[in-house]
Amino acid sequence: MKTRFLNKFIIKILLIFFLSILFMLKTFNSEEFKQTIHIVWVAFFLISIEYLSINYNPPKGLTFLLNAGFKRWEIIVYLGGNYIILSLMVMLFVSPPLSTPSIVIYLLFLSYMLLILFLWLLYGINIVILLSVLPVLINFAIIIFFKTLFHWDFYDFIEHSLLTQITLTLICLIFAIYFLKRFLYGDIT
Amino acid sequence: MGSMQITEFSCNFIKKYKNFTLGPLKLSLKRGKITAIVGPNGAGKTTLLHCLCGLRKPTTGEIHFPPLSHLAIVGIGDLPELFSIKEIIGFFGKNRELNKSIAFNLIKKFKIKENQKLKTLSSGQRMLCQWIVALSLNSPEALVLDEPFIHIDIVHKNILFDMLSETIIKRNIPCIISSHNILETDKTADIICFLKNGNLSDAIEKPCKDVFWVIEENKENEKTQGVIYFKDKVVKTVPKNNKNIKGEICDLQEITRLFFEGNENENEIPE
Repeated sequence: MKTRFLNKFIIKILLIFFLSILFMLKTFNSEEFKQTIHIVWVAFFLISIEYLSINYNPPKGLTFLLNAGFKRWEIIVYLGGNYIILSLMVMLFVSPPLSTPSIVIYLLFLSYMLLILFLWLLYGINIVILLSVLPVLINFAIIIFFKTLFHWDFYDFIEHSLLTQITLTLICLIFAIYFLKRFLYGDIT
Repeated sequence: MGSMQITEFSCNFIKKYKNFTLGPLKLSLKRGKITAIVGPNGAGKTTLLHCLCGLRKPTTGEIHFPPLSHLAIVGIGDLPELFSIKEIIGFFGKNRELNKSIAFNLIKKFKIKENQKLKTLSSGQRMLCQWIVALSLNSPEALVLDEPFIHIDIVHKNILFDMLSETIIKRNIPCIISSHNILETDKTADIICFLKNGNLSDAIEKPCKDVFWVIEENKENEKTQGVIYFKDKVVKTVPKNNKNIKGEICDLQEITRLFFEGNENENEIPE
């Protein structure tokens, strides 16, 4: 059972990895290929939503982690770390600016893999799945979802409007403060 | 929030929501005793326990209770359904002191397949898995149980009643348990508090027998009947021909009403 479950995850991660490499190799230009990729992303999105709704109920998950001995700041660091690295990664994959050297992308990948390895060694595979793989898939999926269905080019959208940049930063800050406050000072359920 | 050095487990707080206020609520938990919070649905039992565990922040007041990482919990949150009980035990064992032999004995006792994912287990078995983790922890500072016997069959319930009492006494830690089932709490609890609409009654410590319920024989017609006593007075009798005799006896609304509104039918109480 465990092996089957792990295999599923490994396949998904490899698939994401493989697709990302393809993006980086600029095989990205053919329209047909783009369409295929989009379908795959939507499939990923659906899979992630399934995990989000059925298997990964955040408040219950957090209660479990706290009860298992994790400190609140530890969970924030792990989840936050994952989200920041992955958000950057996805943005670069989805809309790679020409000026971005591929070394940045490789470094981001490397940091993510190191984070996973670190968690794996420290707490075992369970925590990697709970804190790393699931949020990553969800994060990936949400960004790709907007890109695919609404043709919303994050990079262009953000880069070309100062007002948008400020608004998005403010919204993110308000959300971050709200959730951090709730999580650190109670009422997380 | 509490720390490792907590000597007194108590709270005195108010938690306000738009349509509901819990408290002012003053409660003190004793070591080696099981305190039961009994009340109907929506009374505020889970909110109370969440506040104690630090999952909800009280609007005003103080809570002296250990943090979630020092507690054993059942019914608060859930175990991840993607994993098997064996994996969960392993996971807990990395961060907290957990007696794996106790855990695996319980797994065997409850006949749970240790490699089976939780999502494929029944609701009762999933609840038993929470019990296994809670009872296997080596040094929890308190036990917090929210409707912990829900979905569990009577055989396992009886095992858990015994194990719970034994654990609390042996470890000399406080235990708070919430339930809407008066019969269950009667079997396990040393102290009972009634909660209704966010208001908590005074604690009733056993064996004061302020409230108890028995099945006895009616002397006049020699028929069996269920009787609820409150402060040595019979407040309700249920004749034998009532098919749901136990259900009637543990009519929680009736008992909680006594604590919060008084007995309106006092004149009709039989001698």
